Parts: sequence; C-alpha cells; structure tokens
Amino acid sequence: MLGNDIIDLEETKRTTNWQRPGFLDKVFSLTEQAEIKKSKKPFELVWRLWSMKESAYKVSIQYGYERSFKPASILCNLLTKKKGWVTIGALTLETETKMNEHYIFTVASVKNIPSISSTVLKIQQHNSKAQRNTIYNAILKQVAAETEWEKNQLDIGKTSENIPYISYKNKQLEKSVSISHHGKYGLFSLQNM
Amino acid sequence: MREKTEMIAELKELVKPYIQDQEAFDNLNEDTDFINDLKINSANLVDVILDIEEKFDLEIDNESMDKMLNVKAAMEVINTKISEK
Repeated sequence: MLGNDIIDLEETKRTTNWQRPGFLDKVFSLTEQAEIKKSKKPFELVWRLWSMKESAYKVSIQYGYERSFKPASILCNLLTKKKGWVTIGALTLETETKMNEHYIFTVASVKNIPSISSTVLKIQQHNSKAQRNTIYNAILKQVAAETEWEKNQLDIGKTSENIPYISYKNKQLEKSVSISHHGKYGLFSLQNM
Repeated sequence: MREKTEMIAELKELVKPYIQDQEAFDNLNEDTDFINDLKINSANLVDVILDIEEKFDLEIDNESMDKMLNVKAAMEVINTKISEK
C-alpha cells in the first residue's frame, strides 16, 4: 500500500501563504517548526514536509484509519535530501521526495520504496472530470504496456473510502495505485503488491 | 447558541474563496464535506480554520481541528468553543 502527494509550487505560492500567523502551528510539530525556522530554504522545507504528511495520511486511510485533519500529529523525520520517514498513529512509513523548480512530490509506503514507479503529468484541463480522465488514461496506458493486456479491458475504480484500484476484466489487480493532482500537475504511483 | 441557518450562511461566506466545486458550494448544507464535496485543498483547509478563529474570535486546538472535515462538525466545534468562553 502506498500514498503519494504532489504540490505545484507556483500554484501553492498563489493560493497558500504559509507565513500567515498560526499556519505553522496548525500543521507542524514543534520540532518541525524549529527546523523550518532555521532552514535556509523554508519554502521548500514546508512543502516537502507537507507532501510527506499528506502521502502518509493516504496510506493510513488504506490501513483503516478514520479520516481526520490533524497534520501536526503526523511526524516527519528527514534522513537525506530525498529520503525520510513518517509516523502516523501506530504506522511508520518510508518516504521519498523528489523536487525540481516546478513541483515537489512524495511517495510513502510501509516498505520497499524503490519498487514504486511514479509518473508526473502536465495537466492542461481546468475541468476536474477532464483532469481525472487524463490521469486515469495515462495509468491504464502504462499498465497495458507493462502487462501487454488490452487497455480497454483495464479499468480504475474507487472503494467506498475513495481508495483507487485497477481492475482487469472486472478483477482487481495485485497492484497498488495512488493518485494526486495539484495545479498544473498530476502524479500517479504504482507498486506491485 | 447561534441560529443554525445563520451559522451555515456565515461558514458559506467564509469558505467561498477556497472552493473548487461551484455546484457543491451552491448546494452547501450541514452534510457538505470540505474536501470531498467542495474540493478545498488541504492547505486551504488550514486557512478555513484560521478564518473561523478570526471570525468567531476563538482558538481551535489541534484536537478539535481533527474532526473539522464537514460543515456540521465545524459548527459543533464552533458552538463548543463559544460555550466555553
């Protein structure tokens, strides 16, 4: 089981002021806030940590955790520029973050991060259904290419908890998928179970 | 306690800048979910909570914030915090 999260840096600059009084208190632990304060690149760090928390939260939902909004209690630990780990409830998850001038994204999983393949897409559409279709289409295309199955026999569904899954001829695949979208970017990550 | 419809109207005004689903916004009611229905991104949900604190002059601790995923839960937290003042 995996979770991912992408942040369009231009979009987040436009829509979220992380320096707003009170913002950091609501989102980060005291330790994380101290790291942000002493960081030379606080903007990057804020959104790296945010994407780590969000991707870990997505994994927790798959483990049956209830929906909640308590980001400051999801705790991030940074190991290297890319690698880290996150604790959420009783779960400890590995994370890997990638960053360039346009976006930051993180994938989180209980184990075996290297086996996850992630693809970033540029999304042109503004309508949310069209955006979803673009991402779904790219996922099915990739899975069809990997498996050599017919793309039109593959489908993406969602459980009642809003967790996406891929099926072939109406049978669910042993493959985890996580999807994220923000601003101009879509992200999907796949991992064999 | 504030009138319920009045409070829903106040919350509706407050979330307006952050919504990304106009139809769900037009039909906003007690059961409306901030993330699933209004498609407010989670960073902006922090803004919603900070705006609530400012508007109603109260402090929402992280424990209470935990539940504030829909209009009904937000109203409950606001009413509890007001009654504690």
